Amino acid sequence: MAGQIERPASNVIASLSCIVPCRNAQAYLAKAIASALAEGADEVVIVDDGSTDDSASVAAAAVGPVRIVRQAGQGAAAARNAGLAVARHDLIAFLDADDLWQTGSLELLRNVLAADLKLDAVYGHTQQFYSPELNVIARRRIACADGSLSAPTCGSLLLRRSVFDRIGGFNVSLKVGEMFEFMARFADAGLAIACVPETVLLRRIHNSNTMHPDGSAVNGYPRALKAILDRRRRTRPANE
Amino acid sequence: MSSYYRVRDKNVVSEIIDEEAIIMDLTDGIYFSSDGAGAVIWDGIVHGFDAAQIKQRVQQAFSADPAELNLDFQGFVASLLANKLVNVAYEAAVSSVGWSMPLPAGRRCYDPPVLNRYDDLQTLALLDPIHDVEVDGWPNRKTGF
Repeated sequence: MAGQIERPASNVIASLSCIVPCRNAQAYLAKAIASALAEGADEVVIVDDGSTDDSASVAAAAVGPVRIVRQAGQGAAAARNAGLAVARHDLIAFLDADDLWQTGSLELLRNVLAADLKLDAVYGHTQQFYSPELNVIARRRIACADGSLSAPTCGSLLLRRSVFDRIGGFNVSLKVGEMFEFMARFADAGLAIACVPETVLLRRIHNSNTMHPDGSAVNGYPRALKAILDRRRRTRPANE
Repeated sequence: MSSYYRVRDKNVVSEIIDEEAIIMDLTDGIYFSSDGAGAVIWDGIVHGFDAAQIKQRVQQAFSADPAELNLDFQGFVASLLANKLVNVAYEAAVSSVGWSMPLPAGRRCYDPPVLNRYDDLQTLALLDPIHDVEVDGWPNRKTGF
């Protein structure tokens, strides 16, 4: 048909590794693992980044294709990289230990990548939800946006492993903003990404994860931006 | 006439890194950079110095013509105001106890203040779990629940 672009497709759905970085997530980890397995992950790699609670026991009790990697606390970026290092499959997804996937989300994202081999990644929308244990007072205190949000966060993305071969993993020197530093590299490398309008990630809002705007974490953002700017300056052609 | 400028609020985060000011407005995900005299000016605003003290500091760091510096300062502050990064103030927001940036060993050639603006990460920044993490990059308290 005129105007349509022929895109190479595959009937083969590639196998998928789900990486779950985890620190002190005993209250939510079992549900995250169950969500990943229910969504059809071919393996779940839990990276326990120095938990001091019972996260390790929760992970060990999981039934199914679950592997556990333990490391001293090195941060979320290092934990994701550790998971990548042992992941066996060609598609890579990340699910934070306190989040869940919407039913059918992995199948949807896998089908998009299978239908277009030129795509390097695909992401869907994120819907935030209050964790059931939050009482009314806490819910008033913590903002939780209505509606779905469209942005490629770790848990809403499905990537081909080749992406990491090309641009590397997460920048372990960054404690915050490492995801958008990664996605800036993704974009600057000219990699292809698609977005589907469906909600794929259910992001849990709970007592322990909201510090904005008074938390010191926000002060780490400029470091990530500086890393992006410096890299672009290093790689910019000399005649620009 | 006002001689102070204040960082708008806590949604404007910044840091001087390698003599460059990196500034981000968390409310819209737009970020900015400025080096040379611009970094000195931003440093002065953040630390509560008035306009005269900031210009004096720039002149200590750079071989700047006072008239040229005065014009550049006004232009730079106008950019900060236009981008809603600072507000006009009539007193210091914080006590001016020191600067982040040390003075160079010798005065450098003048590097006029320029505010570079970037909007390429807006979507990501608005959803990045920056608002939700501890300083070590994890969403949970290290002590557990």
